Amino acid sequence: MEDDLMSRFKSLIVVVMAVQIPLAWATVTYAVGTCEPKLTSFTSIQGALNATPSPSVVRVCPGTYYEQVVIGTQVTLEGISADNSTQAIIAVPSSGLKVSATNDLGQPMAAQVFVQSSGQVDLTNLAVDGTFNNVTASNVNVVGVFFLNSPGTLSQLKILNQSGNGKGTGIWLQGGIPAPSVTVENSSLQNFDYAGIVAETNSNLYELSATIKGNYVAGTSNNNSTGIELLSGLTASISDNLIAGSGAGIQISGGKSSISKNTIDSVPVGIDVETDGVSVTSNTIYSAFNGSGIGIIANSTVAPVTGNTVAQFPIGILLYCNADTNVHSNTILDAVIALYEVPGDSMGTNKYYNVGTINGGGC
Amino acid sequence: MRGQKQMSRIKSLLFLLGVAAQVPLASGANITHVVGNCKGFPGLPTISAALTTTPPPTVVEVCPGTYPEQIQITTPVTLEGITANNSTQAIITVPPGGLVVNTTDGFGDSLAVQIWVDNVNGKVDLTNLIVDGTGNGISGSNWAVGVLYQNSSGTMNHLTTQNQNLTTAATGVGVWLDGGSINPSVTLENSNIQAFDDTGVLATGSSTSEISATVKGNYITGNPAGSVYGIRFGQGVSASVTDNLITGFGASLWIGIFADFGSGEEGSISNNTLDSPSFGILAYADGVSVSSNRIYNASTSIDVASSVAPVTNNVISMYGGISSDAVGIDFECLAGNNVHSNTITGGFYGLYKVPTATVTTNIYNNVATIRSGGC
Repeated sequence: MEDDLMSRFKSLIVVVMAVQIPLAWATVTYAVGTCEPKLTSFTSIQGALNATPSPSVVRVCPGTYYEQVVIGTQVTLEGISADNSTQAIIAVPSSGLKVSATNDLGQPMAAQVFVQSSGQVDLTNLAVDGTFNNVTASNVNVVGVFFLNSPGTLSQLKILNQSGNGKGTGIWLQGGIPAPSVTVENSSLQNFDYAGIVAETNSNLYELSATIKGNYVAGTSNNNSTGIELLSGLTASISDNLIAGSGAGIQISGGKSSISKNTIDSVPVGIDVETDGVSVTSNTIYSAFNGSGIGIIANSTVAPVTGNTVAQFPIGILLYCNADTNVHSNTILDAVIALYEVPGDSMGTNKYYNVGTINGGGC
Repeated sequence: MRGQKQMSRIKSLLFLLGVAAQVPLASGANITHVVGNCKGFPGLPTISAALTTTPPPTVVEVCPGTYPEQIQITTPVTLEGITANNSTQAIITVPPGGLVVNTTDGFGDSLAVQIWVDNVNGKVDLTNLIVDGTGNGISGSNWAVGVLYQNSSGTMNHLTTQNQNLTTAATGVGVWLDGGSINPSVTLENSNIQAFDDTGVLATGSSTSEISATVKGNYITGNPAGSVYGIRFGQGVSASVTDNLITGFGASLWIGIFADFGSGEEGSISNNTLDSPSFGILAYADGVSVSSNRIYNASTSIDVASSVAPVTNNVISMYGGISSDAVGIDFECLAGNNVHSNTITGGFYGLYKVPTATVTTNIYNNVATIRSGGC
């Protein structure tokens, strides 16, 4: 009888252990706002992120949250639907934005959401609005989301109004060791006055893998902002984005990248290639600006520039007396000069329609 | 004897060659004229001169250059700009003194048309040409039109129309497709329609004159000083509008695509990209589906005044900050379950003026108010 009791007691211990094992690995979910009363709820996003135990998921109720957010551990931060709304806005505190980090170029960063985590950080369905950021110093980057050496996915974000001092950027991705992978997809970046997205690593190695796809990136129409800027030390895939603005659509000065199937609308310079490690294929580039502008700057003898459609530019493709037959199979419509500064006779085969001068400018 | 045989064979050969050369001419062989002097021999000085020769040409090749003339086409022909001397730019411009009214539409409006394809029994194809309306001088209620296909079929490819603007009553149209008794079929593709002050591409018919219009792969941008419609079509039009980029970014475009009210109207609006018009798509025709379009940064992305027209699988992205007042889909208290499966991001209202009984499932992100009723 005693043995039987002991046996049942041992079984109970096993059951209790079985219950405890999942608890050790359980998801810790908090809410921000009042729309999820069954969850532990906080009034601010930062309050939820700082709670113990650390959350694995933070669900943000519709509302406006005036705070600068810092994320240091693996987490999913997501705006949720409630009360006929699905709009969680991270807005600037009443005192304006403060510098919250420094990037690897030594520049101060006033970031609205600053992520520095070795674990995956996913941001979903959030708006980050930089209105009234109150940053006037010309050396401070005003940034919607700053991913510093952190892996993660940014999806369905609205990043807007990072502007005012000429250094406003929607999303800034910085790599490092161990070379994180970051995806920015299906998001909208608007009204920035420096760049929509910057990706870089201050390294000669490839210490960041960036995938940027399916986004709408639109600067204001009266400044020289760049849609997507790729600096050095990274690999990148840029595809299926719609980019509009008044500076360059996509500018690549380093790294190893694939730029494909993007639509670039109404920019003075569509794609600016200043490095060998990039392919530019099957993009569609239009300009509504008459009088100045270049569809593609191909400043490389190696980078393939093929299958693109370029329309309505004074200069279709600028070869800079450098590129040659790596530029081919493009369609150029409505240009004053289709190809400019073509070295020697080494011009690739392209299609030309309504072009004043097919091959212009000597080298 | 041998010499006679040889002569006989030569005569036979010449006869055969002569017959062979004549037969195609008698049965409508290609007659090609060149306009301009780019082919090493003197061509005709104007496009109109080439088109009015007898017999009428089947192909008119236009050398790079500028041709200040209003053109009327009355017979089937291919009119194409060609490449020569490092250029491929044939520009049809406004004659000195401006455009003159040369036809009317079905409503009696006076039209001053730069290329008028006039009731042609057969196809007229236009390729690789620029039609520039600068200096059109149009005033009053007259219309300035880049290209008018009137009761005529054909294809326009790699065409540019521009500057059908600065008319006193904002009556500039890039390309106008007008139906008629032959129920024509017209395609406009891979073209650049810009700087018009009323409509980029207009298709019109009536209860008795229908037209089939295919508008695909074009770039359509408004006038910096303001434009009304990117693409508009109405009664009697069967339209396929696909894969166009229509933009008001940095310009001003009131409505991207307008499927107007009207009987006998059918077709589809699909896979277009619209950037920054005030209104993206107005779906007012029961027979026209609106699907898989991407609409960015509009004040109202889709306005639906039909309880029938399917409005599905569109992706809408609106300005979505703390001051947004944009509307994703306006049901106008008329649409209902025909609207579903769209993705709506940003904006103040996802769905606006939705009839109470409507059941509609869409995906919403960053939307301040998902659904507003009031009907």
